[in-house]
Amino acid sequence: MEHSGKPRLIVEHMSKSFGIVKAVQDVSLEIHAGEVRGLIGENGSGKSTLSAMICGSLKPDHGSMTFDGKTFHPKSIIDARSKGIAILLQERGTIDGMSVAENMFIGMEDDFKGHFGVNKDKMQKKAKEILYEIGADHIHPADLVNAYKFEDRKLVEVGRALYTNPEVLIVDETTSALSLQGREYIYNIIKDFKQKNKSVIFIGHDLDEIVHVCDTVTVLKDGKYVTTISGDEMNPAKMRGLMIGRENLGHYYRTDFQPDYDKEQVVLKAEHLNYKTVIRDVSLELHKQEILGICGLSDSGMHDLAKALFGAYKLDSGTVTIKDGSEVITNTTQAVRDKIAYLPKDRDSDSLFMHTSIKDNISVTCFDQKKIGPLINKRHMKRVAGQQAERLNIRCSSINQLAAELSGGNKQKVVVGKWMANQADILIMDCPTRGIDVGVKAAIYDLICQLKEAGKSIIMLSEEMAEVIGMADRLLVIKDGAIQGEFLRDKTLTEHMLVEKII
Amino acid sequence: MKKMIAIVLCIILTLTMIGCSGGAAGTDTADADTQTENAAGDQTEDAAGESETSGADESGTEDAAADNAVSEAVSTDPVKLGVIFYSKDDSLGQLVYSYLNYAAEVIDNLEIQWVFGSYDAASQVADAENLIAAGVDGIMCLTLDDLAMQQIANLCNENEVYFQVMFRMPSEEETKAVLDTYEYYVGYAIEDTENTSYETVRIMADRGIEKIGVGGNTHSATSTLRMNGMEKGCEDFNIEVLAQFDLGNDVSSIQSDVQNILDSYSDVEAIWLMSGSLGIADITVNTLKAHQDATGKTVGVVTFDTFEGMAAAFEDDILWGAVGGQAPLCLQAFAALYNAVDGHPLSDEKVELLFPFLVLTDSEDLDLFEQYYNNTEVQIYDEELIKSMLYRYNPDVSLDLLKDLSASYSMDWIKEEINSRN
Amino acid sequence: MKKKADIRQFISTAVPYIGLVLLILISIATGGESFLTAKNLRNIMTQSSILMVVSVGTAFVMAHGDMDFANGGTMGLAMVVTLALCKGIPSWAVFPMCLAVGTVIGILIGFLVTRLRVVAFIVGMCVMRLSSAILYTTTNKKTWLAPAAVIKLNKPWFYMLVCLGMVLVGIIVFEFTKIGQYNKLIGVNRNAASLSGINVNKYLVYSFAASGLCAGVAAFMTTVRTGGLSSSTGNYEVDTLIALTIGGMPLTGGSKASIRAAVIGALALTVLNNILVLWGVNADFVNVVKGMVFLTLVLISSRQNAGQVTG
Repeated sequence: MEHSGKPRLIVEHMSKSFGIVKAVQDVSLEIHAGEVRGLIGENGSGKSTLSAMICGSLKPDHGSMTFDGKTFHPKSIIDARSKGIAILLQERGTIDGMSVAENMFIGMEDDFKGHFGVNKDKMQKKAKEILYEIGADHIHPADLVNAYKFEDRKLVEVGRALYTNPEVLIVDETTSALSLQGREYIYNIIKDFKQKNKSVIFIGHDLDEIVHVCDTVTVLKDGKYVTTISGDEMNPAKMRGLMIGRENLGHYYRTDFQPDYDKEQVVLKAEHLNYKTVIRDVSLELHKQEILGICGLSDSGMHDLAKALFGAYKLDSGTVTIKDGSEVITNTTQAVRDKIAYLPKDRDSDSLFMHTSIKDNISVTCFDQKKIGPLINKRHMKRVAGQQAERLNIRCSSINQLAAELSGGNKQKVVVGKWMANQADILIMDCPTRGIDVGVKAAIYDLICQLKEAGKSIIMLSEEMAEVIGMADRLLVIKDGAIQGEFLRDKTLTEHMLVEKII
Repeated sequence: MKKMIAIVLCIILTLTMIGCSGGAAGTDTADADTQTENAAGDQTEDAAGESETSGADESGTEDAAADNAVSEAVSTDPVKLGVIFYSKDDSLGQLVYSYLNYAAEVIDNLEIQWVFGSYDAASQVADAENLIAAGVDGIMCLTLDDLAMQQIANLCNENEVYFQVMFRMPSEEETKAVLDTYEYYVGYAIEDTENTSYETVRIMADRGIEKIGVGGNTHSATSTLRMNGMEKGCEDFNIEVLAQFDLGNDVSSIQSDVQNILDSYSDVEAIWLMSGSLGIADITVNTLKAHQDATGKTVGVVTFDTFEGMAAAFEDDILWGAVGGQAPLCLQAFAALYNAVDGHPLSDEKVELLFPFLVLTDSEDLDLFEQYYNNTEVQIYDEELIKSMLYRYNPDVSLDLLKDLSASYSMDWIKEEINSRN
Repeated sequence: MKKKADIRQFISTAVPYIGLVLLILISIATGGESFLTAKNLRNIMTQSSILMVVSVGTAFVMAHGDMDFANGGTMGLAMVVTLALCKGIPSWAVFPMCLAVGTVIGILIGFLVTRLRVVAFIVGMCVMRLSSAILYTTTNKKTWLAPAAVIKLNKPWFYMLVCLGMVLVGIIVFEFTKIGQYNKLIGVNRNAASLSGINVNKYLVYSFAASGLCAGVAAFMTTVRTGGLSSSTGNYEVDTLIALTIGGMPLTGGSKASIRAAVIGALALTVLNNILVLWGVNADFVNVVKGMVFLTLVLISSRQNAGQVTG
């Protein structure tokens, strides 16, 4: 599709660094009226950073923007929004403890000035109108926003973005968290924008969706602009190739397509687990040398299941056993002693000791190894940490460097190293590649294969269906805390087959 | 940034410390200059070599000749006394701090080293150790308990430093027996609690009162003394105690206790309180005021301690007597210690001084009390009086002189004394 | 290259002590003869010993980020219980008795904190109140004297010996057993500690037990020093907090926590109190000087090379 005339939004030579990490380097874009522009790239390719600069939440180090012929330098999200550029965020953007209406008009309270502060009635009335317009009239403006689930809260954000009648809307990986119905809302809004000759920047992972929604696509890689394609060029294979930088993906995931594990030997068994409302009667078995994939949406109870299997929850009912049911896992200490490892989704808060050295982070599981009488063996611990850092190729100045200073991928390596140091046999990996760039991602996949080869058993939980399909021997789909289906490793397995069960 | 601040602070600190310590060897207070002049006045000639103060001040020498209040016969060694007190910020602490600093000012060879802020026995012992290391000749202390008393006395005795207890006395025979064996223990000075308590009952007797309620307990040595005095008084003046309530830790129950007595004993004529602090007296006065307003009948209060609402209570004739004013006791304790250090102890025995309280009985008393006592600007014991208690200035001084002086201590005496100065 | 790193390592370990050394040097320079006498140094050792022992225990609790306001109260209770029983037990048993009572109280506090989820600070306040009430009612009528054999220990070598022993044991337990190391990690990230297989509650209880044990030892030392049970025993809550902080202990605990903080802090505090008296600083300025010294010490001693749990 061709766009004539002057572009509405011109982004020129934008750069942004975080410390030594160059998140965005010299990227330029032109967005025309009535254009839906896709923005793709691997994690860490800089697309979210770029959109954050456009919408005013980050200040660029270099570069300039022109919007409708005027220089555009937003001071904040609210400033950008009042000038006509609004964003729908990837992460949750609503504030708990405030009502739906308050969340919707955050920063715009002046529009609802009453005699005494904010006129709530006026605010709620307007909120109701907007929610009706986008077809989300099941949300009540006066309710607290926490009363609604993730999807509805996203719709509140949509309402917020639309209130100011923006000329440019940025949709930052919003749809991946939404159900089909939720996505339809967003698609309709995008269509509406197009009809009104307004522009949309659409950031996404799902390449099929990109093809479906966008007119043109800009590809970013490692913070740099790669190319912009449109029309027939826009096919998933080509785009994936551009994103990763090579046409042939090669050994990215596992290369074999046969389930391959010891079917006779069950190493971990969960029976009828129940925990509050998030885990409902889940039973599963993990075999020796098996990669068991578990796939679901973020709020499917999948992450809680991971913790439950590790003994971190006091279950309402059901048991997790290992070694033919002879040992019941009831707490994390025991789980660690029984060589179970847990790599949490939220590394920073659940696994890392941030302002603490890499050495301490890795050796935390080694206090009982090679003790000198009743005393711990610090020399041994240091040696183990050094070995793991070397083996996993953790990029650091020394093992005395603080974990907080590492990049996401290296942090994950530290977490892996911690469990390797304990010679874990069963690894529960919750979103092991979340927020990790492509290179480290491949290394993690590689490592998982190695662990499997070495006879370890792995439970891999992920929201990214592609990686689960690519890695797992056997695949469970979880929804609303219950297991919805099981798939064996197969070449013909596609994301669509899983999506049906997930949503 | 942090390093910079640290460096700057270090420099300031070093300078301050050196500054402090320069003057410190010889002096202690804001009036350091005056004091050192006095202290150094006589010693510079014959003691300059050994004196720690020699470096600190040269100004003293000129004044030496002018300062002729001292006779040749008297020792010219400087006397350094340490005072351990819990605080200098409450009403008693403020007065003691002011009185003793005044003494240091007017006495030419005296220097006082204060230590505040110790609230447990072990810390007080540490304070005493530090004072001894600082080279004091004597220590005065409001000891927190018998153990502290005994430990400090022992410590002082071993180091040949005189020790005087003030506002406290050994509460047990054993402690007293141990203390009495120490050569360097001078004695104690304490409020005359039992007799004052007795006198407060006389106030009620003078009004013809026969039936009273009593608030008090015997939880500590001091409260026991107060109760004993009261009981003796009641016996002697034929006053009947209708009911007694405990002044426990819970101040909030005082009101209902007083009310209960008023309700149950319609013939009660007065309330006697062992302690009026922490709002006890205020609450009682308010309750009685309400009773007075409701029934027209006046029930009076006689209490230990002074409190906020005294003026109004005297006005309403609800407050008949309040007790306070013991701070000058510290000067008598000081006199006993100074004389001992000076080589002329008041007595061969241990000095046991009793110092009376002031008993306020009307608004006039209260006005005088606020004007002369509750006022750190006023020195109740002036230079002349302080010097009269010291052998150095008054070789005729005796223990009896001190006792006479304390016996005459009263509101009227203070008024006369201060008026006579001009 | 290696050598350079070693030197840097040495400097970074020496830095926290600089404040203390500086303070002592200034004291020597200005306090002169009266400071540097054997007797005065003995005084300083004796005076700092009790505070140091209490602070060593408190360091364990502060390592995981809790405020320990129970140490003074624990001391008081340990003394009451021990002296109440001391007629019935031989004199040699007074010391283990103090220790045991302190430890038991520490464990009880630990259970209150971990099982009943009461904030440690609040539990500490309660112990403090309870102790002062019990001390008040037990001592106001009659002074409780310690057995003669116990009082005989009142010699500088006794305090130094006990103090040295406790500091050494403290360092070993803190640095070379899981008790100290785990508590530091819990202080850094409790969640991660738990999900790394550390039994958080168990090690929290251990830390309170360690604090109680040290308070028990300190209680015995206080008994020796004062010769009996004093109603005013155990005003150590604030002093330990000050000592540890000027020794470089972060209030939030974590990897910077160390026993060294207790040693530096207790010594610095005692030297400061001592030299202030020796100088005879005007009472009106004592607090100003103290405040400045504290600030300087904190700035110097808070550890620059953050993040080493196992050191």
